[in-house]
Amino acid sequence: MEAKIEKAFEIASLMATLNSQKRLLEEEFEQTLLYYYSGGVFKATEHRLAFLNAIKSKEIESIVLLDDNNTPILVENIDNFFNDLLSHYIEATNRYYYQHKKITSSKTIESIIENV
Amino acid sequence: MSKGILLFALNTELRYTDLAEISAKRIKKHLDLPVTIVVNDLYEDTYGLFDKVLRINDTQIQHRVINDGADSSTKIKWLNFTRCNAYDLSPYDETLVLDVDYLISSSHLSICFELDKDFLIFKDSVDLSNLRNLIEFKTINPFSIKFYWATVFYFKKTRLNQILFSLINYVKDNWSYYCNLYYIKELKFRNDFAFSIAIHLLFNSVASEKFNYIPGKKFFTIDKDYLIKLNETKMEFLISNEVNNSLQPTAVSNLDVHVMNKYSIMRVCYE
Repeated sequence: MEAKIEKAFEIASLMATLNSQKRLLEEEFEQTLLYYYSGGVFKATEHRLAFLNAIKSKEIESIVLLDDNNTPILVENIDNFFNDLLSHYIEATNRYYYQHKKITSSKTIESIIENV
Repeated sequence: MSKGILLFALNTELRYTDLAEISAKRIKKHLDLPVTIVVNDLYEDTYGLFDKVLRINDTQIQHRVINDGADSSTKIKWLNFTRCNAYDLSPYDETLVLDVDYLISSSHLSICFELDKDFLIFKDSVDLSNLRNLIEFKTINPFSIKFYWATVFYFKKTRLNQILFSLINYVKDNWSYYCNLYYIKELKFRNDFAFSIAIHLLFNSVASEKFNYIPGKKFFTIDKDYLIKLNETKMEFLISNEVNNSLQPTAVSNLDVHVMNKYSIMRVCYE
């Protein structure tokens, strides 16, 4: 097995490894964007955040939102929900940014795999 | 409401109970839920990993070829009929059923118990290889219904789920007929297919509003790939590239992965 691993690292292409890892990192990012609230699933998207911001500006306190499964969920305090969703979005994108930077600045296959 | 995980570990030439122990340790770490194991021999829970050990006698035997990477394959017994009885076997009100080769590295699946849904299964999957296009994991044949993995699913003990599992058993008992009806070439019974057919029959007709998916996607590697390193949150693989007969190093962190090369899990954990 050791010989197989050594050979794989020797002959693999740096670009192929990088592209493969970038794709998986994006998939992981998509998953970390999911936010769970009151039995509902909400992906923290720019679109959703912009909509909530618009609702907030109308000084509406509570609202029923459709989650990602189209289940109606009562959000009792829009301010709190918006803040939590925004924090979640910022945390996920920051993590994505740093992970992406780490692997794209790696110069060898070993360091790409090490930095995941 | 009791909550827990159900693992099926029916030993053949392959020690599924060893895999279940690896899996149970990771479940304790990341999900912190009680685990019940279903076995077919006199298994002893030496490490106290399991909440309950259920012994069953699965007399229906199939055979299948499983790979250990691209160069090695073995024909072994395959005892896969019992999963259809998960509803009756589970000691919990809310159950998450996992394959023993589905390696948990995050708390992601704990959300299943928070979503207030009767039944959850993955809708989409991601192959860790970007070089393959495995159509057989998208639909059960090129012209037919959606494929669902029976690798991971969540259910509550409700009347609707009792009907679903009865239907899965009905499909199992009439397997040849359903193979013809759904144009399935492989005659071996597969839980993935039986679940896909039962879901199609039940949820897509009379109760579609009751059907929900596990958030996110199911990540997997096939048995031609190798797991080469494993720690609490990270896995490293060599992914088989059949185009140029090479192996592509790949790693993931904080993602649960269905690692189909069971031999490689054993090697990494026990050697």
